[in-house]
Amino acid sequence: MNRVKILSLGIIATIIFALSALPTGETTPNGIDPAISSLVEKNGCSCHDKGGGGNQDSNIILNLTMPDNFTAGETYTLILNMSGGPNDVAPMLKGPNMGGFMLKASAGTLTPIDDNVWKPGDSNYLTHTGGADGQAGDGNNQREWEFNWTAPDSDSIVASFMVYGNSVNGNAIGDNDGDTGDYWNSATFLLAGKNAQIVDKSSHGELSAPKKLAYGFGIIFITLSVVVVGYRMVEKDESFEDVMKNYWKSIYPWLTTTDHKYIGTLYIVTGFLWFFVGGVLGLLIRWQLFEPRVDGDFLTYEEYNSTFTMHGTTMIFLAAMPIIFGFANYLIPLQIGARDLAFPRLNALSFWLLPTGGIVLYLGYFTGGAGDVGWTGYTPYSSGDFATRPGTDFWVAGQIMLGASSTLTAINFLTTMLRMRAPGVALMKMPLFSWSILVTVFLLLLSIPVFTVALLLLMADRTFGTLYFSGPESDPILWQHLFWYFGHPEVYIVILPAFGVLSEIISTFSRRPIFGYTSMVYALTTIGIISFVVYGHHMFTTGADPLFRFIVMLTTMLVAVPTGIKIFNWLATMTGGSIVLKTPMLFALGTIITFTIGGITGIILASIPLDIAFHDTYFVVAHFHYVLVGGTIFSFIAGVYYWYPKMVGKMMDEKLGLLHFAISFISFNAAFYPMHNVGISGMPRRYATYDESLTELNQFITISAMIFGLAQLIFVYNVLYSYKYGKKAGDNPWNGWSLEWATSSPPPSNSFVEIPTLLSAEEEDKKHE
Amino acid sequence: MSLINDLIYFDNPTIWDNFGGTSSGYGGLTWQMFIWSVLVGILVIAWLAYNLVFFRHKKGDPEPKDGLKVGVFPSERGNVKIELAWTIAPLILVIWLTFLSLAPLNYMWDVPDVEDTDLTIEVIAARFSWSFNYPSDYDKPEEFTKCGTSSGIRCIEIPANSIIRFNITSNDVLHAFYFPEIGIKQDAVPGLPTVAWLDTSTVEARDKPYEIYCTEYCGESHSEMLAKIYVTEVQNE
Repeated sequence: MNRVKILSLGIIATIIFALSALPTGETTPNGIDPAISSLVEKNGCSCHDKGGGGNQDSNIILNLTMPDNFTAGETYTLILNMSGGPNDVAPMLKGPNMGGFMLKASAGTLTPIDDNVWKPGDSNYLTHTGGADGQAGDGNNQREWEFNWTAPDSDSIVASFMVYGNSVNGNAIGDNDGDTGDYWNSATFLLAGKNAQIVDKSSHGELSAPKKLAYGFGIIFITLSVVVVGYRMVEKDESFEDVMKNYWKSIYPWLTTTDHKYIGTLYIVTGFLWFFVGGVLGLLIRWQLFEPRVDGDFLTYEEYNSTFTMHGTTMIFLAAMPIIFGFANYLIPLQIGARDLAFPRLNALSFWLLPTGGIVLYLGYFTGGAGDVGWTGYTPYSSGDFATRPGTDFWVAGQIMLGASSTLTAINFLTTMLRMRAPGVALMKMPLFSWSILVTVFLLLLSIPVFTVALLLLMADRTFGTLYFSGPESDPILWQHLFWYFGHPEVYIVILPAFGVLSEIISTFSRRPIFGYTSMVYALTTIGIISFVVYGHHMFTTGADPLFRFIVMLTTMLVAVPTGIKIFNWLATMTGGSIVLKTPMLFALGTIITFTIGGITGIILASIPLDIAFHDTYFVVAHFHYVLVGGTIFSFIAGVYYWYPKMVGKMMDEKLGLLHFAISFISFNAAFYPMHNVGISGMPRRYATYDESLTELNQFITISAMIFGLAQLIFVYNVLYSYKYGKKAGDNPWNGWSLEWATSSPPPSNSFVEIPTLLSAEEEDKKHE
Repeated sequence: MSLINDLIYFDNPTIWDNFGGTSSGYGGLTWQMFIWSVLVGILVIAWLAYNLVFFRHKKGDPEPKDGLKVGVFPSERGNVKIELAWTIAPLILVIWLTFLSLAPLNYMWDVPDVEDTDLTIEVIAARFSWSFNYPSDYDKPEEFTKCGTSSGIRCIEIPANSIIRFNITSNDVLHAFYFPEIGIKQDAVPGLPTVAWLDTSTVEARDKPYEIYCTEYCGESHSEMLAKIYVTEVQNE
């Protein structure tokens, strides 16, 4: 063994030792010190806050007298008393009103036993009487209150009581400034049930639903593999090792490949698999919204929150981006006439970080609930102790891995495209898909690291108790700046390659060169540059500086100009052409319509007054689904139909393609167009239930969405069917011009037998003369 | 059929008639946005349809002169005048729309001074409840009975024909105060006081409450963080 090998083995051994010997990834069990959140939750008794929140006084001592532990269902009498603060000695000089309280219990039922204590309406907390007009009782003239607490049905939990005590000096009588000189304090008391396993409360619990699902799938998988392997062993008389060796032989190349075509295919397949998972989550959301449901009717609110979080994160990071990178991987070397990417091994690493990161994201489901912070993960919710734990930690960790994957990919493509173009492929002669990827990887390189940094800070807040986002001195808006600085370029990262695909397809199927190639390139780069100065339009309602908001409104509006140029250039390309309507073209034209609608609503949302009205409502949901599904996903489905013959060597079925397009296009619009109406009527996004008056529209949306989901199965069937029975495709089935059509279908393992040269039209004419 | 009605009409009259308290109508921001959106949409779809009708490939059509050949970068097509036209026209349009956005903005952001305000209400958002407080020196009119004993918790009654100012804070995480029928939305940020205001002469005084939603995701029961605002006619003393 040479030294390098020994060294690397040593390093691996050290890492493994370190991982097993050191405490592994244990997060702070109770989150950040709860004292911080109670500091933030400053005002329990809202009537005595004259000092603007500065009136908390630690001299006020709260004490809750309670039993050592509780038995399920039993009723206990608890006594709350308060000492210290102004007017500690009763009776006071100026009037009654010496104190008040508010008390919440995390479990069980609170009931008053005398008229000093009051349970307002159907609320779940207790407070003192005497505060509201015409109310019997003398509760605000006490320092001690008694009430009953009925324990919950399970005594294996710990109940917590959150108490606010308000010590009052009683100057309210005859003095309108009754709040001055009043102080308050808060405290939390814990009461354990008799059978509470305080150390490890989940170890003996029932299996959660996703766990059951995973075990179920595991059992099915093992059974099936035993049957299949057993069949081959018995029928073909192979030994167990032989069967395994054969399987290994077919999997091995995929696991170890550094070939851009293999990795591209892996990316695309992985992307569409996650797209399926994310789609199922989306349909779960729609089913929850089929009618106004109460908590737990279909999904509990917490499950619903995890569902939309994972839906958003999956669709953006695990579906859209991998599909884009898949096509880029496969096509960029072919389009610029290179044999592979500049760093093939790095490319493989980028890919394998993707499913790994995805699995880490989804691990949250096996810990009692996946991340529930929304794909935007706004702090201080995500950094505090309210978000699921450790589900949200997994969400953060998975995102960091995906960020690393994207950054490496960006470097790889940048180097490849700037250094490895074939003779004749000048920058201004690259196909527009290549151009869109070039701009995209620039955006990636400049935005993803910012997001990674923000995620690391969030991770530190969640795990090590730092206070970047949720301490008393920290800025809760900081996260939004960091996130949207990345988040807005990110949506262009997802849409620009779609523009590239559309440009290729529309030009090819109109049988003409693209109209205004140069202006198309400039439009792409302009969109890329502007994308970094528009992010503030996500923050119009935060109370940010008005000048900042005005500037980003203007820049956001300006995005419409280059985008408009692109749409008009596509239409002009078709005018005077000879349009062949095949499935890729159908999807491309459908995309023009849906994307135009999404772009127009984008302008509406850029206008601050209208955004203030529509922000965080279903109008926004409609807008970005029109852009991301109607723009990105539709054009990449078009891309699959267009490049499938190149990748597989067989044509896809046209009839199935037409059917897929017709159903998808109609049901997509039926599902997402009404969301504009729902949004203008005031339904906020991320709501698990809604006002009854919107039931009819929501049912219509849900049914359409189900149809849209089912229609995608036609696509899956078409891909599989054509793989087996498709007609043979030649090298250039659609008569495209770019270099990927110059090689065979599927391309040879070194991509080009001979590196091609791209001619210009004049050179080609000369050749023929 | 009411579903079709729902699809055609965007059901929020204030947005159309009286947006942000400024008089709107067809010249106002909402209508202008809508009209231009429809025009641009129709332009794109009509042009697309025109292309599909007149420039379809038929069997036996000759290859266009500048048709594509593999391995050959196609000759550039373009027309500087046309391209400039559809760069400048959208530019003018978006500048016009930006300009239009300023009028309601002037109104919305111009929060009335304390002297001009008839009533300042402290709004405190906490997971998953809204609490409202009148100022301590406010004499609650006798007409204010609709909230009953829960006055201040998820419910508040305000006088009609007055300038109401909402001072908004949050006790824990981000929330947003959303008044859908008038298009007011303001985030509640812990540690950062924010303001929203409302001229109640622009809304109808009625017995049915106006709904308040929380629109910034705040956790488990986010969708139940609702409140009611009653606008009540008050006799002047």
